[in-house]
Formats: sequence, C-alpha cells, structure tokens
Amino acid sequence: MKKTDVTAIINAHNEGLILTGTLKSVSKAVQRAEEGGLSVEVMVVADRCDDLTQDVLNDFDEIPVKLVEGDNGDLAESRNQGVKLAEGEFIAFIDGDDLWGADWLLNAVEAARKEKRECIWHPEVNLYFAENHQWFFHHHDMDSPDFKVENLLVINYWTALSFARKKVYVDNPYVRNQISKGMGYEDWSWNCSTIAKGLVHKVVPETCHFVRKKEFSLVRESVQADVMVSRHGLYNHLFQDKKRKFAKR
Amino acid sequence: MKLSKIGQSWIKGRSEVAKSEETVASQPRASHVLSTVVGTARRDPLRKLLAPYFDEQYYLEVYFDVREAGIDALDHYINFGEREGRQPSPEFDPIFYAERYASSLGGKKPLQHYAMEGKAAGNLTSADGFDYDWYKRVYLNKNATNADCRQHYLENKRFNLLCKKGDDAFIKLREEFDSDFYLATYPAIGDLDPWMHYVGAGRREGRKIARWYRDGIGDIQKQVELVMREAWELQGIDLMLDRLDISGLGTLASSTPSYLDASNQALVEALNDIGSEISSLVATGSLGIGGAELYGINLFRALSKLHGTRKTILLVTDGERGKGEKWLPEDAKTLVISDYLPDADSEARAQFTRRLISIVQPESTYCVNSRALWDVMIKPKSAIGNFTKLRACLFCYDYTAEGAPVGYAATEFPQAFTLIDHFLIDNQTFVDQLISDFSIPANQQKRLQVLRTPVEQKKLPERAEKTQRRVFWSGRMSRQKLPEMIGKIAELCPSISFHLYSVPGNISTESLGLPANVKIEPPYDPDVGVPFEKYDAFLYTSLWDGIPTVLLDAASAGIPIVGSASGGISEILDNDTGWLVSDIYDPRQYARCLQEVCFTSKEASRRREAMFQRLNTQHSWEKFESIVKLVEQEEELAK
Repeated sequence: MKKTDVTAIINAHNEGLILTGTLKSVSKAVQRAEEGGLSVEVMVVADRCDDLTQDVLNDFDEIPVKLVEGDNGDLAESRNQGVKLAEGEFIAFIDGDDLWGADWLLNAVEAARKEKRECIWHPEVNLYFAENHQWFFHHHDMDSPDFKVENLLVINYWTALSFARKKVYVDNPYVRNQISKGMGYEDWSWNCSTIAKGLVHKVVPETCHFVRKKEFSLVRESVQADVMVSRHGLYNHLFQDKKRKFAKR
Repeated sequence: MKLSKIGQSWIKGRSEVAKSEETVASQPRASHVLSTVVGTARRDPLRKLLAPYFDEQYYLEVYFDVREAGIDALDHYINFGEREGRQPSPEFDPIFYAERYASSLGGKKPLQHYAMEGKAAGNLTSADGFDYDWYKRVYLNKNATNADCRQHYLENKRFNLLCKKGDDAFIKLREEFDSDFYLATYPAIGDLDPWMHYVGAGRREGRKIARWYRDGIGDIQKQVELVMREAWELQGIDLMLDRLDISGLGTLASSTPSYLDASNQALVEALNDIGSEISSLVATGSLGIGGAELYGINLFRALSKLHGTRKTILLVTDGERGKGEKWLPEDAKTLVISDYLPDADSEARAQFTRRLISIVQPESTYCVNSRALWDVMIKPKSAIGNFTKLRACLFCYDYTAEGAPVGYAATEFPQAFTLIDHFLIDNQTFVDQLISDFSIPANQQKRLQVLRTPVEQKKLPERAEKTQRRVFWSGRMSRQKLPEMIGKIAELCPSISFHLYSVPGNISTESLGLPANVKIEPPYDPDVGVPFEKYDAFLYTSLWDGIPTVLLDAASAGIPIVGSASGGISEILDNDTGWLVSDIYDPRQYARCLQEVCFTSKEASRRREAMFQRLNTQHSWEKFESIVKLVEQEEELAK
C-alpha cells in the first residue's frame, strides 16, 4: 500500500456554505498534488459543527474526505485531534473558511523534501479578503537577513495555515485557547514555541493563500477581549545564553 | 555631539536658533542688522584676522536667513553665527573646535584661536564623523570626493534628515527607490528631497519606496502576479473571491511584521535591554526617595541576592528616574517605561507592563505602589497571573479630608485579592486592620505577611551630653504629618529649639505661624540627610502611617524619639524604646515627653539603647531576607 505523503486537515466549525469554497480549493490543490505523484489524505475535523456545516460536509463528493467528529470547542485542540489521526508524512492545515492556492501542497512538499533541516512552511504571501477590503500579508522566512526574531515577541509573523512533517505537530501540540481567561492566539504561541525548540519557519516560494476576514472570527474575538498570547518559551530561549551587560539609559 | 561643559557654555543660545531653523529659516532677524552696525567698527582687526578662513559665498548660501536679511556675512559670523554654532566654511566646525581645544582656547573664540595658533599647531577643524563610503553610495555616487560629501552635508543638513553614516541596507534600498512614486504617495513632504526624507525619516516610519518593492519582503510584483494567477485558477469556487478586482491587486496595502508601531518598538527595545532570563521583577511607581520606593529597592536588593542581579529587574512604571536611583546597586537592572514611551498615558503604561511581564514571564512579580501594575491586576481578564506569581506590598491607607480610607489598600486590594498570592505589609497593625476591615477568612490570612523595612545594622553611636536642648522634626508638609502641631508644641517648650527639615508638600511653612524657637532648615535633601548628632531628640507627628523610614533612620542613629501613636509606629516606638504620644492631637503630651528627653539624659540614653535593640531584632536585614526567601519558596509562612 502506497504511503500517504500529506494529510490535509480542514478545521470546520460553523462555516456553513462558506465551507464549500474551502473544500473545493483543497480539492484543487489535492488534484494538483496527485498529478505531481503525491498521495494526499483529506481530513475534516468537525468541531461541534452546526447542522448546515454538517450537511455541506455530507454532500461534498469531489474527493474522498475522512470526517472526524470533534467535541473540543477549540481550534487548537481540534488541530491536535487531527494530528493524532493523520496518516500522512506531512500535515497541512487549513481553516474552514480559507482557500489554498492550487500549487500549495505540491510546492510545499517539494520544498520540505529539499530542505535538510526540520522546518515549518508557510506560503510566501496571503491575500486577506473581505467584501470591501483586501490587503496582502507577507510571510517572512527565518533565513532572510531581514528577519528579526525578537519582533515575534510582540507581533505574529505567520498565519495558522502551516505545513510541516507530522512529527513536528506531534512533538509540539497547540495550546488550548482560553479566551474567557484572557489567553489565546494559539497559532502565535505555537510559532514562538516551535522556534524556542529550534525549528525554522520558512516560506515556500511562489505560493499563496487566501484568508477570509469575517465579521466574527477567533482572531477578532481575541482582539476584542484583549487576550494575551498563551505561554511560550521564546523569550528565555532568545536570551538565556546572552551575557549582555544591561544598558542603562 | 556631546559637548563638554566649556563647549556648552560657549555655545549658549544655540538651541533656540536651531529651532528657528527647523521651522522657517528664511525669516530675517531685524535685531541682527542693528547690532551689526555697532559691532563692525570695533571688530575690524578681528575681521582681518578671520577673513582668510571665512567663506562668504558658502555662508550666505547655507544660512539664507543671513542672506535675506542683507547682513554682512563675516560680521554676522563674528557677532552671532559662531556663538550659534554656524560654520564659517565647510571645513571649520566651531562646536567641534571649542570642545576639542577647550583647555587651550584661553578666552579666544574658536576661529580666532585657529587663526592665531591652531592652524600653525595643525589643529583639527571638524569632527567629521563621516563614513564616506556609505555617504557616497547613499546620497551621492562612488566617484564623489570626501569634500563633495561634506559640501552636500552642509548644504542640506538644515532639513535634519541627513546621516553621516548608517545602515548598509540603505545602499540596497537606494537602487529600489522610486522618487516619483514616493512624492506621489507622500505629497506632504513638500519640497524635501524624497530620498533624503526616506533615509532621515521615511524608513523609520515604514513608508513604501516603490510600487513594486517592500523592504524585506521580496519581489512584490512577482507576488502580486502570483496572487492574480492563483485567484484566477480559483475562479468559480468562491463568490466573494470572484468579486475581487484582480486588476487592482497592485495597489493593495501590505502588512508585514518588519516594521513595528511605537508601542511594539518600545517593547522590543526594552526586551533587548533586559536581555536575560528574569526570576523576579519589582514594579514600582517611581524612583523617588519616599518610603515606598526605598521599600521596593530593599525588596529588589534582597531578590537580587537570592537570584542574582542578572535575573532580577526593577521596573519603574509611572514616573521618571529619580534620586532613589542612588540606593540601587551599580549593576542593577532598572527599566523605566518613560525612557521608552515618554508620552505614554496610564493605559499605555499598564499595557506595556502587562505585555512585558507576559513575555518575560518572571517567576515572581512584586508590586510596590505601581499604578500601572495595579491597573493590570484588578482586571479579572488581564490573565497576568498566568505568567507570573503576583505579590503586592501595602503600608497603610491614605485618608480623604473627610476621613474615608483610600489608596491601593482600600480600593485595589479587595479587587485583586484572588489574583495575588502574597501581600507584604510593613507593619502588623495594618495586617490586623485589613483582616478586620475586609473580614478575611482565617485560612486566607497567611497570605498577608509582615515584612518590616530593614535597617543596616551598626553599633549604637556614642552621644555627647547635649546642653543646647535642640529637637528636630522631619516630614512632608502635608495633612498626614500634622505640621500644624509643631508650633503648638514649640510654644509649650520655650527653652527648646526646634529645627524643621521639611519635604515640600501642599502646606507651606509660612502658613503655620511658627514661634521664634522654631528654625526652618533647608528642605530635606536625602543626599545631605539630617545631622542627627546635633540634636537631643527627634519629634515625629503623624495622623496615619505604616512604619516611616525617617523614624527608623533616627532610631538607627541612636537619637531618642518622641512620636505619635499612629499606624504601625507603636510596633517600634513605645514607652520602653522612646516616648509614644497616645493622643496625637495633644501638644501638651508631646511637650511633656520632650522635656523628659531633654532634661533626663540617663532615661533618654536607656530608651535609645532599648530602641536600638528592638531595631536589631525586628528590622534586621537577615530577617528581611529570610522572609523574602520564604515568600519566594512559598513555604508555609510562620508568623
């Protein structure tokens, strides 16, 4: 039996009709990957989905989808749940309202296999789109001379739609969001924690994602609640070995 | 350029000129014209001396206010320009010269000195400071000469946008820079050279330099083409995406974490300055010389001893650096938010404090009258307790004029009680009061820990017999310290001389109508202190208090004390260790005690020895450090 190269994990909740676009974009990327000789497993972790979302999932038949019921009430835990069940050598995440560029999976696998280090991969650019407003969010490559890792302590560099070897996600599970307790930004915290463990975040050249900005989203809820990034060890990782003399102002 | 003292005095008045140049340098100053007429005749020999070194054409070209005022350039230079730091030629910098040869000027002006002695001695005429290679590549071209660089700098420096040296990244950016795009995008820069504006300000502000280039991002044009292509491929699968104006993608804004806003930039700078793992953080409101600040610094010192100075930090959240800094060890890590965000309001300071703690994650954080940290701690969703163990220090209530308790202990303490795992309080009396006022359950009371201000232990100073009957009072001139009692007490003790060392407050000494036997000394200066040895007794009056530092200082100096029975004072001062006045408003009680101190020296001596003994028992450094250690280790704290 041919081994699975990639598991595409779609995190679904109450996206309803919007989920169809995501499923179709994944389908396109899978088709492109399979044309390139890759074997892709598609999994949807349906976390406390509403009926409409469930119906959309049930009716979708463009490609085979492994449906996993979740009762997490949390995106971080849903990702962790998907990781445990994934059979692919690599995992690629997508949220149920976003879209991948068609070449994403193929190019990401190619980049990851060429690279000797254990890396986490991101698209080069994201187009954020809403009904009347769009903008680009450019991802940074840690190997770039312009990359300033300490900025990650105060601002997030990468979206949650990452790609890496399954082992990376197994060894570095996401931390559950606790918005009501003032803690969140599971993807930002994860980006920090993985760097603290010595992993490298890179961009896959010439790839893009389309990220939908909705009236309600976890990020927006987090911003409104003024939550903090969940605990991570990046600061101590960056400064533990530095024998700096404190600069008095 | 940092000027020496001599350089600074010579250059008096320059800053005002610099400011005027920044705004509209072309406004002629009429007063210069009148003064010049007077000065010309007197300075003829000086003109002759300086003329060979003065470049009139350069001067009028660079300083166009002089040109437009129609003033003789050399006269202007002699009368005003040199004093204002203007250069007589591209090669001669009078500020540099005055500083460099300050010790040999001998009263001469810089150019005068150069003409008479300096040239022959081979003196340098300007600091230079250029990285010529960088300057040529960024502003001019590789074929330019060093002189071209200086000339360019002098001709354009009035815009305050030029740098003599800088980041190599600019060299690369220059190749990408599109002046037309920059001007069209940022028309507000007016007549300024677009590239100079970018080097001097635009890059720091995150401005775009070309339609198809973003610093540190890569090839934006390629990225836009990529997104167009991919969006086209996805046509038909998402209606919202289909509605995008793909042809307009090239004009979309870009966001990137390369550039930080002011608050994030300040935070990153602060984190870089801390630069090590932190075990304990002490947050204090300011760095003055008050009792709370000293308490915070003592706490900081004890924690530094426990964890090491590298792993302990003092965060000053609300105010500026102050005289309290002198109490800190030389290698102390002190972070003052005002150094990073000088104009921040209280909300921004609280946010800075919260984020800093959440990133650095010290094992423990102590709040010593920090407004910013209290503001964070009282918000149930601030989540700060997830990142550090919180402790807060309390001393006493403040009171309104109507007698209602206010201050952190009255208002913030009950709100933050759940979040904070230990409260450190400098006197038992206040611990008991809080337990009573807030009906704190028995099993929670151990979270209120007495931690008395430590006093350096030394031998009890010898005291000579006093014959002049002198008493001193020291305190802030505010309602809390009952300064109105001084005059009443002094009137009852005409044979005693009272000396007032006050800290300015909202009550003036003049308003007290003090009798003749009260002498006003200069305001209390912590660098000078009070000459305890000159006095028979220390008089301390107070309406409410913890255990005041000045009282501990007086006790440590071995001086007999007469004081009000308020707050925690009676824990150290009683009728065995001094004279405790139970009715704090009764001047006769104070007067009786002072008479006893001044005229029964044997009893005074016995009590001061008893006080010294108590001080050593209750306020030793060892005891302070051991309690801090217990709190840090979170062992069951024994009372």
